[in-house]
Amino acid sequence: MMLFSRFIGKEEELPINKLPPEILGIIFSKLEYKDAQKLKNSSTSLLNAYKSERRMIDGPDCDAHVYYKNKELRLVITIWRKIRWTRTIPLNQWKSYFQNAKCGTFDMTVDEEIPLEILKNILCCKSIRVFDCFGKSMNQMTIDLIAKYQPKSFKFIENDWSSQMLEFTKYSIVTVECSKNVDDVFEAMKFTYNLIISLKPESYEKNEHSLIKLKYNIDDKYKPHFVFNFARDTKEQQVELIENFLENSVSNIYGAGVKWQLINGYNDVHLLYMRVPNV
Amino acid sequence: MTDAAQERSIKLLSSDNETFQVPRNVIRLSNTINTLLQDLGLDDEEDAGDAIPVQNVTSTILKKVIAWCQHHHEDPVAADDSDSREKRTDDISSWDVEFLKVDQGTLFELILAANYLDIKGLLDVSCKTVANMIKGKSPEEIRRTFNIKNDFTPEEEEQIRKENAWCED
Repeated sequence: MMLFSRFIGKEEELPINKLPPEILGIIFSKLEYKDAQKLKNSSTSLLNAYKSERRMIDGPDCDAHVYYKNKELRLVITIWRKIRWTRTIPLNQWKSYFQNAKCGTFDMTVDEEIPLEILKNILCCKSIRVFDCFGKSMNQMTIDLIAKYQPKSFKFIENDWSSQMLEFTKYSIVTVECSKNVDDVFEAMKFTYNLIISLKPESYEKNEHSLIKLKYNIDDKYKPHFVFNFARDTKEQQVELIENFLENSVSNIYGAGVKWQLINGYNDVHLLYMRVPNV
Repeated sequence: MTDAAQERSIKLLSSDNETFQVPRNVIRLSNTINTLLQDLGLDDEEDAGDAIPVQNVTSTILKKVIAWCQHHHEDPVAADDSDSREKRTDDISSWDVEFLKVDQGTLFELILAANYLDIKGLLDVSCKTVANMIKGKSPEEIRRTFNIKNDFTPEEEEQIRKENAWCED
């Protein structure tokens, strides 16, 4: 930002490709995918800005993380990867922070075992929809508290999955992060309720046609992630391919009869499907 | 913020040393100023004292930013913050359309000022305006619109042309 501050209000013309990446990220995010492609292809600097900001564009525009560390809670708000503010929340005030927050989702990260009383109050806060929790701290009392307060969604870090998770899936959207090996990914996928399908025309290779490439993005921290190359298919063909895929290939992992519902277009290149709970 | 605090004025100092007196309830649209006043414990003070230096913004741009805040400070808070709303660029009010009929340099400077002062509405509408200038254009037309130098090699350009083929209607 400081690098560009000299431009604000000065006489010099400020070309679009010299805008700081976070601003370009916002502009890219307001464009449909096709237009974003054309903008990024108009110069190398825009291309580089697009590549470096791609994760940011595809992800949420605002992250609110709560850290419990060294016996204190810290709230860090990050917008477009830029940390806007961070502050320590006195233990007697944090509850009003969460309850009055306009931001819809908080990610909770626990760096050490959180006292049960605090955990209880956090679970009561409806503004916390995603709750990261390390398995090591999941003692029976913690599990009982989660079962009692039933957060809307729940996220596990790798190797945390257990039969207990099946209990949580009755009331929470369970997602699993995993990063190590394919077996872990497969195991975790049985529990996850989210599925992202990516349409990646820019990775389209010569002579490939309607080929579905599947990959479990082990390095990306999110969810089972299936990549489809759809460069030359019509919308109808795309829908048909995805539906066939969900009904046939995915059932090999999840078991027959599992239904998926398209929640919304995550953005122009990502479709977010949610598993219909077995009631 | 108390009622008394709402009614008082805040002084802002532009980078070229011009002071602007702005009602507190107008400049509340700037999260940067809000956080600053709160963190310094000045929000409930009768007199905030010295002018707050807005060192990254010149008087010309600050004047426009204040005019925008003046017009929008009573707007209801947008409830729908969904992805689809984020993508829409056809919902700019006629007042904002007129307000943003400025040269490109001024438009980009307004964007930077809105980002620095963290005025979400202004940042949103000004980025939408830029997005509208891009929509439906080819890379070549985008270059012409923004006076961008095409710095790709012929080989890179050929590669791009192939990659872009799918999105040409």
